[in-house]
Amino acid sequence: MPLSLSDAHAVRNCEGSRDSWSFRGLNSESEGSDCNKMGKAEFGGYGEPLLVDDVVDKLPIDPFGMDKRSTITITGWFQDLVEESDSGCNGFGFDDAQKEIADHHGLFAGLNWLWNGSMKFEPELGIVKKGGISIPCDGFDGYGVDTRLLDGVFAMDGNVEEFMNFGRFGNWFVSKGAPESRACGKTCFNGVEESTPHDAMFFALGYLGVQDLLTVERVCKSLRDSVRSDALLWRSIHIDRPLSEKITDDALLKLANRAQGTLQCLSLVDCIRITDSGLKRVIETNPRLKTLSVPGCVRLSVDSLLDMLRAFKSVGSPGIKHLRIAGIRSVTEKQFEELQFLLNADNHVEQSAHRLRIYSGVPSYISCDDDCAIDIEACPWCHEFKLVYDCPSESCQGKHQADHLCRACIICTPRCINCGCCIKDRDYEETFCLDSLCLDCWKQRPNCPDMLGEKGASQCTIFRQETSYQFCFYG
Amino acid sequence: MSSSSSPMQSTGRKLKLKSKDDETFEVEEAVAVKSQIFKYMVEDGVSNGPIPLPNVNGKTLARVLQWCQKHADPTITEDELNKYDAGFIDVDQAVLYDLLMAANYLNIEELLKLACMRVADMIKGKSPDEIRRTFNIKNDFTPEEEEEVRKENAWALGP
Repeated sequence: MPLSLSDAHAVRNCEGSRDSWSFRGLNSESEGSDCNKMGKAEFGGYGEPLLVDDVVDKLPIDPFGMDKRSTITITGWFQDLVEESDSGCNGFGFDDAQKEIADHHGLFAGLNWLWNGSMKFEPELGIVKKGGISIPCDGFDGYGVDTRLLDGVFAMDGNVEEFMNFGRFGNWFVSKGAPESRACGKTCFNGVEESTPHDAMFFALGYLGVQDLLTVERVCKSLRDSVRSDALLWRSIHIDRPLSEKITDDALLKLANRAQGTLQCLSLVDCIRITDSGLKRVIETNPRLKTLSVPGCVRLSVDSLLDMLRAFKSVGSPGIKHLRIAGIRSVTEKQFEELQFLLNADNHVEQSAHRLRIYSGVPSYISCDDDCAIDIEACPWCHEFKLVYDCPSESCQGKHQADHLCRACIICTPRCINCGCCIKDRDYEETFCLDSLCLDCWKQRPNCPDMLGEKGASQCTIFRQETSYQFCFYG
Repeated sequence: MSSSSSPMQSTGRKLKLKSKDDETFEVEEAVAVKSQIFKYMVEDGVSNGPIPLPNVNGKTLARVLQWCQKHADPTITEDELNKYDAGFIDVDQAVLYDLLMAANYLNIEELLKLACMRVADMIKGKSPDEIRRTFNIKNDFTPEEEEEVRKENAWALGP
């Protein structure tokens, strides 16, 4: 008969019968004295008792059957589960020698074992059910439960031997009561020994971004060593959200040092904590740097960048060829000219093959692959040095041969956030985020009623997935 | 390198390949040269007997050759190829590893990239524990080492 933990009731007679077990709510009273006799598994026996609230004791765990995760101490034996469950369940491979497991919650220190989650056991079928969905025992992963469906955690303490007879429910965590205990190196659900990473994983490291590389570094020793020592992985460093707001000068230097002087492309997007001195340290130790992209790094100054470029030139080094500085402080004409000179902009191919830059709502940061020397240019209208956008609209392209008349910075020529066409002479709608949408794009929105002039609550999520605001104070 | 866009050479010349478990395969040159190894062999003059591949088993070699065949077909469109690749690489971990190592050994750049990206996709966005579970990796850090790595990258972990 299936056992529902969320009921927190004894479902079988726990009077010494081999077919008995009982479940207690963590904060619930015992279900009769006989069940208490099984109470070797009482939490009090293994450590400090939990602090419980008397009132909470009396409350059912999940009165409305909402499948809320509840913590229930399981006091009893499961040997009948072993007998009843199918052999289709896989062994939890519990190894006495590998008992130490992190108690992730700390709260459960001293508990015998703990079930966190509401699940139904169907031991005779060898499956577990949650919310009506059956999970075959061999679907358990290393945590003993299929975490795609549950956040259940098994934790136990004390008498490990008791559990050796228990059913096979994947991994059990033995808690030493200390959160700093090592995570359990358990055998996985299918009984295969955990081991070192396959060679194939190391090939894949080159396809990971910085954040994932830093995560992989924490997996095991061989991956840590590989991530730290393989300079090829750090030849091109791209820092974007969510790391951009977190990275400091020191952290950047540590990462750049992993390239062992071979850093070629450094891209820091909206890295508001990076300072001139921090960037300078990185540049000085990486003379082979070819592409530097620092859009939105508001603490950087153009003067400092000029110093770095001059230093490269003075030592005869090939120096930086591609520079992206849109969004840092305003550039004067003199600075722009010197930047072009130091980047050898005259020799670049962009003179002959101008690549269209289309506005797309997010700052149009050109990738490291782009061939032009510098991303900003003088806006034909306001003459300030900024990103200047082309127009994808055919009507604009048809009218003018060389440059589109609407070709200008985003302030001088507002554009549709979706398609990038100019909206100066067209009707447009303003979204909730104060972006502009041309009428064609406006009509294509999923929730848009096909009526002109309707200004209902606009849904701009399809065009702007993430909106964030950074406030930087500097002086 | 013979790309998928160049016409298949109907020289009828075939290469004989032998996997490490002694399975023999016969493939047209135009298909085999997707692998740089075979390409150089073909250019330099092919050896007589079957080419032994001690690092690739028969099952994996069969799959790899199937992929090469598809990619050597000049009539197939890019969209169809992408769809094919997506289905091709959607395999068990063990098979994926074998494909990756075979692509590396045989120097088939596109297939290697396809397999690497698939493995990378399985890593992306996961926590260290989740990666360990997915790939069955033992956490062999001592507590001190684990703390050291955590501290080293603490800046990336915070809010």
